[in-house]
Amino acid sequence: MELEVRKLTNEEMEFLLSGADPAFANALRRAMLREVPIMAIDEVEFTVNDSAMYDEVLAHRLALIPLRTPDGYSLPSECKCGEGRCPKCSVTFELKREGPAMVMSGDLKSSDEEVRPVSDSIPILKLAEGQRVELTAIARLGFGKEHAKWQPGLVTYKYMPVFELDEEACDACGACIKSCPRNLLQLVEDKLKITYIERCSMCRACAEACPKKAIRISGDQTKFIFRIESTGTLPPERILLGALDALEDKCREFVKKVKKL
Amino acid sequence: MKPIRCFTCGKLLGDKFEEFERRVAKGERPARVLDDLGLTRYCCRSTMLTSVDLMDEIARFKK
Repeated sequence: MELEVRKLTNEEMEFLLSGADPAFANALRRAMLREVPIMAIDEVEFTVNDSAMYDEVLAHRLALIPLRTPDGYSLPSECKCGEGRCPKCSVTFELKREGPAMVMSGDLKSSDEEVRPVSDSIPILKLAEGQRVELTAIARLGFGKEHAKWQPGLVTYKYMPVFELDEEACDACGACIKSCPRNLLQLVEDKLKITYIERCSMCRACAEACPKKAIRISGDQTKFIFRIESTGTLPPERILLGALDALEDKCREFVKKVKKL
Repeated sequence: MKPIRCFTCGKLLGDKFEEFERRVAKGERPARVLDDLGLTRYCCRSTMLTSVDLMDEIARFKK
């Protein structure tokens, strides 16, 4: 198995995984979506809410705010406190505003500077003249499999496209070139060539447009182009590492159970 | 209120509405602004284009 990183920024990562199979690629993708813990607001205690928005709706909006997640927090289920309320497994946010105001994510005062909204300019709630809101929100680690607010980002992959051309049948008529929605085909010295094969969406428009049936498009089931798009809670490489840790733990536990038989 | 995330893919949109609305009001083409904001998928783009903020209307009635 080989890994080739094509692009890596704070929020995005693209890599080519070769020598794998679809089952492994999908296990990796699902582990990244479901098994990597991140912080999200999980409980909200309202002291005052005069706004036009119901408590539940406001709590839901708060939960959707992506929070930067540093290392070192423990899962509420594994924490010694047993309640999910101690500083080792939870972070509290205080919010107190009086209208007229637009309450922004930056107004949330965190008990840990490192756990804060990814962006300070997310509008949460609009308060009219004289309306007040006062609340305490508790953020905890959680998993994407429980709620989408704990999903660290978006992970997709596709098979590496394979373009096969029957050169004897091809008469360079150019019908396929016009049909390609991404303009990836061109004639070089009367020979058909595909540029940037990775951009091919495998729509097979070229194969269908060819009067001689000279083109075959397929996907290489051992090569995968992965894309991780983080919501900003964790850097993309940490999402990948977190998923691998989760898969490793699952395998270890399984091995232990099998050995007991 | 405007949605915080894209309904379909979960991308953060809340912090992008201000710029989007300001620039479109100035006369820029919405498609260009969406490109500049880095919204490539049509789920996020449609959420940005079609969300209507009814907070002021609702605030007139008693909860």
